[in-house]
Amino acid sequence: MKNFTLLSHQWKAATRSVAASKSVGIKIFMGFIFLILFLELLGGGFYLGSELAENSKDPVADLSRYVLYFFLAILVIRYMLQKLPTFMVTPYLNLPIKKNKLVNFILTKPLFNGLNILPLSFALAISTGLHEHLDAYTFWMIVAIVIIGDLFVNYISIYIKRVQIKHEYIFYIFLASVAGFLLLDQFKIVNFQGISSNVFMKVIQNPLWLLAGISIFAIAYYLNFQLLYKHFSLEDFGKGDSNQRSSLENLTYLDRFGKIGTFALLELKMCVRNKRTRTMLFMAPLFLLYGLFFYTKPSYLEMNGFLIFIGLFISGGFMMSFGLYFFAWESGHFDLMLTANNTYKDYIKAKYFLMLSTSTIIFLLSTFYVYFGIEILIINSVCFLFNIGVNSLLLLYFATNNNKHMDLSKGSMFNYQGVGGQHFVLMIPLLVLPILIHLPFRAFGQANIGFALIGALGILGLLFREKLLDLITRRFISRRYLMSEGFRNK
Amino acid sequence: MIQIDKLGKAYNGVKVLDIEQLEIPQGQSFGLVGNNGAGKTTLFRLVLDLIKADQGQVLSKDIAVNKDSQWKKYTGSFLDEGFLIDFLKPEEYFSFIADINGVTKDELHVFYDDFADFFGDEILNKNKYIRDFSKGNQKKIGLFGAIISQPEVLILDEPFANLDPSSQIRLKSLLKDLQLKAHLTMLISSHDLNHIAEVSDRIVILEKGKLVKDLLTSKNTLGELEGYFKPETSK
Repeated sequence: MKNFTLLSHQWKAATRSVAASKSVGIKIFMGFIFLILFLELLGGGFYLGSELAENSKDPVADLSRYVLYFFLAILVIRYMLQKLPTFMVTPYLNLPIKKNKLVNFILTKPLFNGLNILPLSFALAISTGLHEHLDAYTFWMIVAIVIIGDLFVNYISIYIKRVQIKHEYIFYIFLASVAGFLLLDQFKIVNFQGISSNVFMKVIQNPLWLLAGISIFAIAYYLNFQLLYKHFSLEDFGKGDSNQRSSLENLTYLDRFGKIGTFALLELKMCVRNKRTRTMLFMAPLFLLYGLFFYTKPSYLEMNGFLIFIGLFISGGFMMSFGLYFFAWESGHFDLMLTANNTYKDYIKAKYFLMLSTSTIIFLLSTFYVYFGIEILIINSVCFLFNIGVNSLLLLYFATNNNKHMDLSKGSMFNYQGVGGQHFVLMIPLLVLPILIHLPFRAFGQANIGFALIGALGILGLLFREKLLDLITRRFISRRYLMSEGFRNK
Repeated sequence: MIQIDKLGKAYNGVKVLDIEQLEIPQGQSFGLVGNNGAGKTTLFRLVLDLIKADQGQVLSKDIAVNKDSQWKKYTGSFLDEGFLIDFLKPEEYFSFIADINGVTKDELHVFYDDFADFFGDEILNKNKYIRDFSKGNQKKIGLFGAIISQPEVLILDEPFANLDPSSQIRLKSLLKDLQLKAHLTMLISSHDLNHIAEVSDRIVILEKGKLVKDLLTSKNTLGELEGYFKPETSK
């Protein structure tokens, strides 16, 4: 009965939340993406299975060598995608419900996560491709291994995430261990394939070993239980990270830029001191490394359009992920910004200069890509000009459309709270426009003129920035009531 | 100083504020009372140009607040936590506000000394972000933030709520002091009839968005207010 009540409260919390009622567009979008990925997963699994069936003498043994990698991949994916199961526990603490019960209730939630069907579906797809080589016994053993292994991985990932709330360095340890695993594997220092094969063939031969799997799952569950039980009052896990001296306090050189500097400093503090923005900040270097994935492959170096895309992303990726919500980030204190003694233009200009400076820093760092050819540097430079001249202003303009309150205390990896479907639509002109500009020139063999034009547009944007900022300010002024009303609505 | 002219605001077709005429002269301490939903915060937000009026306008020094932001130069306000920057430490918040108002560091420190009593030992040098302070201390931070700029107009929404009793008493004398010395125009709302009667020269009662009573404070005001708000007992 009590469990049922708890469940019904959960259901109400989910269906009555503001987020649930608002973002239908984004849900459809995400659902669509999910469906496509799911179908691809099934197709991939089936293909893998049938290829193995054709080319391998002992497909099951071959498969078993990769089971460890499979679970590692699940661990990483779960870690990144899955939300921590939480539960507004405070209202129930003073009710006559046993703490055990609440903890178990929270811990059973991940069992009902939609992601859970993916590993099994993948395994089933492989089995279907392999069906000629599988007897019923082996098939059921595979199913059992995947289910039990996935359960273990699931609870381990939750455990890591929960510990990470308090000790952020756990994230880096996790990252380092995964990287370490991959390195050890890459340079064949440890034969993980052999280990994987040993372990899982043993399990398939003797189902009693499944019990060992179940017991490590039980241990993972118990660890979670312990952790939650101990820190149940949530005090330990709610706050965190405040009482530390910060280096930003003495950052006075921004003072000389007057009010704009004051606002920019505020913005920096906001980035560093809130969880959601901080995660974004940590991801910024990734944009810089983006080029490495592509420049190293000669085939990409031929595709100018693609290189433009990468160039835009390197110097503008951070700006784009951040800029579209420039005002929404401040939803917590937007009323103050509206009533404070400043002109709206200074306020907006501070954001503009922040984009300018971060983009410039990232661009300067990215000049080492000249290693891959002077052409890369030229493309990246025009893209950089376009980013700071055109895209930055477009972002500010579009940012006035966002009037959903943003909760900065939640992490940002795949956190779509406050994000509208329009985000994805708005990214299109920012990324596609320069490519479109470039396209006709390339068609007539004048690629360089195309690049020059992109850069020129950027320079024009820089030259006329005051006028354009005025335009944005006017837009901001006409949208301010809508924004502040939306931001107040948590 | 502040003039309200046929001001109206409706949400979903329901009128939440409808004021024909209201004028607050310079130096007046103006108290606003009314039960929940009477439109107090709405009125303040309109005066601060945070929401759009459906009709009418608010003039501050004869200039419409939604047309020109001159009023920001001489208006200090604190309505709710939307005026706090929760990831700052109190000192950082204060110096942010001081910076945009052109108040120097020295002036700010003089202010800190003046407010030492009001703050107690709980606000300054705590090395804590505003979001980690208690509601009452957050209120103190916000109230202080509103007067750093030495405004001519001060707008506070329920300044006494969440404060501990000593702080309430200190705040009262502080507000009276400010008004006497600086000849401040104050707009204050409160649910505490005692306090509001004590700090205000004039009290206006709002009910369902309408101005129903407009009293100049005298000895009898408190009684009058209590009489007005007394729940009707069923016989």
